[in-house]
Amino acid sequence: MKKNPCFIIAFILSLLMFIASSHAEMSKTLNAAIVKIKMDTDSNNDGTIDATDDAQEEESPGKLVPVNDNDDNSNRTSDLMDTAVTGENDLSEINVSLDPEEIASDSAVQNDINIQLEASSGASHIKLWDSATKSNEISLPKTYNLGTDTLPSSVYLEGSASGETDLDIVLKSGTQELSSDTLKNTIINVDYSEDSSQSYGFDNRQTDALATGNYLDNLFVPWKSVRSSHTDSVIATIADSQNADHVYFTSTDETNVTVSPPQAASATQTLTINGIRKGNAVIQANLASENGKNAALLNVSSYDLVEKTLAIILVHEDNDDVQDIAVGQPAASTQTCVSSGTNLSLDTNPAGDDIIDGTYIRSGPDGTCDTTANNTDILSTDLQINALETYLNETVYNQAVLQWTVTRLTEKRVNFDLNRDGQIDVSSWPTPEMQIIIDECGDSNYDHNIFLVDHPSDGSLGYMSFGQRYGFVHLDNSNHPNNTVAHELGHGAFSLEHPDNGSRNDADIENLMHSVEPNPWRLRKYQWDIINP
Amino acid sequence: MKYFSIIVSIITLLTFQVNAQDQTVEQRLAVIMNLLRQTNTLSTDAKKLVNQSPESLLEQLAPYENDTSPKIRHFTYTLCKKISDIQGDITTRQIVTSKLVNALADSSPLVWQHAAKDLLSFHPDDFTEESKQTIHSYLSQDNPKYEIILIVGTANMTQSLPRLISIANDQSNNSPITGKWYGTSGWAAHLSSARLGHTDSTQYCIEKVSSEPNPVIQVTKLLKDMAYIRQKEAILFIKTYLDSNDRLPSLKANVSGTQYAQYAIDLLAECIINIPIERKYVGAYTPSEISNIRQWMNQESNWLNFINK
Repeated sequence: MKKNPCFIIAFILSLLMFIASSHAEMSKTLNAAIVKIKMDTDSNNDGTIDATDDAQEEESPGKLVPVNDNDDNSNRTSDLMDTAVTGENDLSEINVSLDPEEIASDSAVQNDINIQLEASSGASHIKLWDSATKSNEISLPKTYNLGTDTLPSSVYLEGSASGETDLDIVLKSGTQELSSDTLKNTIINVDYSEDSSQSYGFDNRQTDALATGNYLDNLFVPWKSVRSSHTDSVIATIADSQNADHVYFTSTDETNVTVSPPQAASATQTLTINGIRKGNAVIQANLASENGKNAALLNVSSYDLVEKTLAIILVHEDNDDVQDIAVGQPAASTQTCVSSGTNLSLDTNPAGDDIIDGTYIRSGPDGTCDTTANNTDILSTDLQINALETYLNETVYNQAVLQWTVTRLTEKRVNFDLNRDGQIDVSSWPTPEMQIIIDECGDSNYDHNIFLVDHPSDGSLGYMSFGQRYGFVHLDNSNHPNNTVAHELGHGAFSLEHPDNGSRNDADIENLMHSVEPNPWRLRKYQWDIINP
Repeated sequence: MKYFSIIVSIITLLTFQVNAQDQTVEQRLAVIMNLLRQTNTLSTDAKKLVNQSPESLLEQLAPYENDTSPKIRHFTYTLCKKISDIQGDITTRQIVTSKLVNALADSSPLVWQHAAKDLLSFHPDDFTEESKQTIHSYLSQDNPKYEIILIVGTANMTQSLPRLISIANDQSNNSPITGKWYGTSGWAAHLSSARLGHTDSTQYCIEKVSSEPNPVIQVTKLLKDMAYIRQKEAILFIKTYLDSNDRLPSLKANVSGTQYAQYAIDLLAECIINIPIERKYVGAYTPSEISNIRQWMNQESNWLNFINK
């Protein structure tokens, strides 16, 4: 058979056209099959992002991320509420990659390619940022069109609330999904709090009213006190609770302070803090391992015990005048109606027209004694010494690792009421009436003396000036006698100021030294250091 | 007045209200100690003096130095200190300082801290060579206690000055590992060195106290540290507070804060032997007394020869 050359040429052309057409279709299909979008993070929590993470990236818990509620830039704003945080180190890096990466710059296809980032679950637990220091937030869901947008090579995930989240990335051509990837993240929050049965102190004051800047280096890190060579407890509360065993505890300076157990066993974990010697350490709650990402810090100060002695002296006003002539009885002018008793001091105010003459009250011109002798002591209110010592040592000053030995001295009857008004004059430090009590009742053998004397002239609870051995407490005005003693000792023994109206201007209503709040008992870290320097 | 009250105190402590005439000192002490042990109460009702020699009293107290109760041991050493205050011969004082130095090794902070504090009120002659050797051995240990370092200065142990300077110059001893800078061993070493006449340390202390921003701490705590130094420059530094009309913050509405000068005059009354005022306590000095002492210190330079070391 003789072949027609034209037919042959036409056949070849048709074949070439078919091949060309088929090749174009085949190209498109191939691209769809080989283009991949991928996210990588440290899913196995070993500190690096590498191929070993892939097997873990969609498995729970995936990447463990702390809630970012500390204050890395020390600007007194929680990092969660802050942006552009210098020193921020709590965000989790996520690397984003296209394969082949040239597709991002391929003008033939880039306009059709969209990449979407979204949290398919747990969106409220995270925020996404374009830098490790929170420069710009990436609001989810976020779509990148490769024709107009630059796909970032890394994004940074911030934990904002505890719980699991799935972060998805999807690559689409038009509406057709070509590739996707998912990362599992678990956000863990750890909070340290006071154990109600603790022996020493815990300071979690997050004040917003400080006028002076000397409170804490890092506002959101609480402080714990412990006695050296002794232990105390603190509570670590872990959320999400099913991941508690991913939290590890470690001390930054084990020569000063140690912590146990090293790994949490429950969502509410009691930790034992062991003060080794005088010094500080930070107890870290780290995720995944003892060297993992930090989720919470607790400052610990280990103090040596300081011991002080306190004498409590109950003081009564001594009144013992003698009625020489009964009231209403006739008396010659200037005849003695009332005379001082054994205390050799006149305790009686004259009545009628009677007049004072030295230590006597004599009848006036009416020829009658009008004055009743004052021979009734003015008694003061007592307190329980053992209860006071327990309160001082187990509620208040134990916070600063200081202990009081309280001794009751024999009560005194003193003729201090110089103006016979039935009160102790407390209008300055010290008044002559206060000086009489100090001189007659004070015992310098004790570090400090507290005189219990009722009926202050100004209705106050107590008075002890800064750095004094002697102080006055008026229990007739106090509903919390032990607390009043503790407060006055704060002034006298340790020179503590009122936080609310002193140089600090800090409305710390729980503070022992608050000027008006009833029965506050807390001491803060700055006070621990003054008490136990 | 103070001396009188101390005498009254010791009298009342060593007497007892029930059948006092029939009891020996040993029996009376036993009653006092038991009452203290059981009730935290100290009887001061008795009126009669126990007429005993200090050596005898100290001997009677000796068994209580080894009592199991820290409170009793502390009280025992306190009584020893009182005996030395009253029966002030050098022999008694040396016996008492020896006891107090031994008490520095007590396991109870209540005991050793107060023994250390009591030792600071003695004079160099009151410390025997044996006591000084013991103190020096404590000073030579790693991380000597703050209180021990101060006793070295009080006892005028000039041979320990190199060790003190070494502690003072070690920066790790000057940074508060917790607490405040004025609670560090480095600060104590500067104070003690200054007391021994090391002028650089005196200057350091003056500058350090001057830089303390909290006036309450500066006046109520750190001026006491300056008074410990007992050197001319330190006393002149305290004098600047005597000359000041500033006051500490008020603690009561309508009541002014305490004058700095009250704190200064109280310390100067302790530091200068020939100062023409009896030591009382902060707040008890009248405006005219303060005025007079200001004038006296400005006009009378002789006080430099009467620093109470």
